[in-house]
Amino acid sequence: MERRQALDRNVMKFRVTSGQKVLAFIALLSFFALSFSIIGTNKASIDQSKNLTAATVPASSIIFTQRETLVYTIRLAQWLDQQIPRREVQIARALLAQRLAIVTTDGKSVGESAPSGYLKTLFITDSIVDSSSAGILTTKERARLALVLNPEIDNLIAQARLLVANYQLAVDSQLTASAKASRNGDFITLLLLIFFMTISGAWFVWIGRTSISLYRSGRNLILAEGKRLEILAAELAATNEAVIELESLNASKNEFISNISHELRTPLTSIIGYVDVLSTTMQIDSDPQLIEIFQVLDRNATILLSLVQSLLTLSHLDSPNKRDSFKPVDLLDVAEDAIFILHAEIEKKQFSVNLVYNPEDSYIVAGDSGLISQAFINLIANSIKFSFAAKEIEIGLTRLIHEDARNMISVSIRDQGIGIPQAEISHLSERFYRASNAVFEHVPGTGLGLAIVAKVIELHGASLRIESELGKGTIFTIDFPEYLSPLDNLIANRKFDLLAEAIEGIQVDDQPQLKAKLHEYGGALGFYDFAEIGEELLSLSRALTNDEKVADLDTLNLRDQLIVRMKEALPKKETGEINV
Amino acid sequence: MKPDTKRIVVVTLATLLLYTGISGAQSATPKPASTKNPYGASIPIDPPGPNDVVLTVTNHSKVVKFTFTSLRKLGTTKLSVYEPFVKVRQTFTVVSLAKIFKSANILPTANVITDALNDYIYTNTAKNFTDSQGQLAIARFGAPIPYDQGGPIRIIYPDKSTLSSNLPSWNWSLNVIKVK
Repeated sequence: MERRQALDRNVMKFRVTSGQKVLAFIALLSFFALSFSIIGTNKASIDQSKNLTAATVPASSIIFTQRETLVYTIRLAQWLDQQIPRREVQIARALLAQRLAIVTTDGKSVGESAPSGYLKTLFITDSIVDSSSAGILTTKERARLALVLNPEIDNLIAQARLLVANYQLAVDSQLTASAKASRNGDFITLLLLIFFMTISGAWFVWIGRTSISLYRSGRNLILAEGKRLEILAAELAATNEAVIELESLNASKNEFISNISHELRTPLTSIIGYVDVLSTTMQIDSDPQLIEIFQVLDRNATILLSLVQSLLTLSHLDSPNKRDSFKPVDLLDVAEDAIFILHAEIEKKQFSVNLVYNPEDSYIVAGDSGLISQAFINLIANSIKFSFAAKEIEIGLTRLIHEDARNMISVSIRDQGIGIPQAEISHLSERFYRASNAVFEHVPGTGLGLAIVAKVIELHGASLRIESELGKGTIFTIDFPEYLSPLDNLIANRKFDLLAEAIEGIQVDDQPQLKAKLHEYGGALGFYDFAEIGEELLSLSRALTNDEKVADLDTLNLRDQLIVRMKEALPKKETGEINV
Repeated sequence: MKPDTKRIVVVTLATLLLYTGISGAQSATPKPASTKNPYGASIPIDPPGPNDVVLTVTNHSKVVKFTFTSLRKLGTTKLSVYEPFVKVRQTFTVVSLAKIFKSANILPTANVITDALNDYIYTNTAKNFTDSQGQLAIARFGAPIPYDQGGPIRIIYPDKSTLSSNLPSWNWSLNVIKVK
């Protein structure tokens, strides 16, 4: 059973173990670390790309600077060789200056980045050119300047080469540093990726195994449950067939009894009639033996007829859907009719029957007046049969008004007869059961009278109470639910449904939940005429707080007392049970 | 604060200040930049005279030679641009390249070579030059452009035009325009 419950829980809820949670957390952390590492690496790559892109601009500037420098040196050489005028040299020098003034992406001019030796040489040549005359050099000047200018031209060419070499070294250094940083970042990213893949892979495998295991357990459970349901369905079908068969048998039995009873009643009536005719026409007064024979014949035939009639009545009661023909019935009229029907018997045995009721009250119930009348007749006839000394019977009608429950009409029949042994009262509704003192006293009877009464009471949703004391008498009390109009009936049903629901609903130990339920049902029951119960539920709800998780014993006792009272307010079960 | 972080903060603030400065400079009236090139020779070169040829335009057999005087006759305007090499805003007196091309009957589809005094060459179609509203600058802040600052004439482009961001097309010390 425990295993089954565990399986149920597993099937109902997908669960992750603590270990899986820890592993998932580590995987999540490694994922974040990996993400940051990738972002960092990408950022480094972007920076590197920017550096490379930026490097192209100074590179072109450096190359152009070198070019302009070489052009300038050529112009210097041409000028020294008397091929061009000084202006051409100056223009070449100006174009070189223009190149050196370019501001690169790092905010510095090309000239600022040039080696100091380069600029120094440049300015030396400037001073040489500036100190010479304009136009083409004279031979004399050429001879003088050649000594100083030629070494400077060579120096300038060397410096121009150095300009590029230095720049290349700087760029190489920068690229190497970037590549190193990128390589380190990539290595860390790779490590994190491997770690993340390992952890998340392990987690997925673990989860997968757990899920497959749960799936298998669930599938087995479902299959087992399916088989169990199939067995139950088969059992239910068999039971249903048995019930149908039993119902069919019962109907056949009722029909058989009804037919037999009809067939028996006619000849019995004839027999009783002829016995009566014979006893009155024949001169039997002088023959005590004949008198006794006729009395035995008459009594037994009457008992037999009574038995047949009772069987007919029971058969009639056992037939279904009797309630469909229920109508409002005034119990006062029914009681008066019953007394009237039994009038001859009452007169014959010199009984006094008192009918006690309140003329201002009405005693209307829903039912079959014939059946109720039959029940009253049976009870009154019993009182007559079993009262030998005191011959007084009291029939009382009372309307019982209930604030929190349905009103009742109570009918009591009190006699001062021989009474019923306490131990036997609960058996009185059984068919053919007769009280031991009735048998002892030779009181004729079939044992079906009270069975009919019990059946009628059950059919009408009433209840029977029997209070009896040997030698002092018996009180039969029948409590009928008062008649309600269809609308009142609907409301009553709803309110009793609500009451039943409230009884179930407040049976919780969780205090906040209990408080909420008491409040909910208290208000609703107050609305549906259970004012007192509703108020008490609300009072208990107000007394509780939401601070406590579980209600204490005092609260639960109060709640249980209320439940008892609520159950009492529910309509009695329609079983026709006899309460002693 | 870590040194790297400190450097980032300083660079950011400096960038903001520089940006604010540039914005201010852009919104204010352009001021003449220093006419002195720190890397130039001490003796300045005399600019070409008004009737000296400063530009030769060749369209196959057709050759047109321009002096400052003849260039001015084509019609000049003032144009303020952000000079991308020295990275300052400067105001130039310009003649549109479209007028110069027209004077030599250069068709829009023609491949035009711009040749500088230092033999630097940039080539593009006439249409692309004119679509970017290419201009020939003949003066800066109302004065001749020195040789060591791109003069005496140079090609410039208005801000945000297509070729304005194409630095090779800003040919300095222009000498010749010819059709390929």
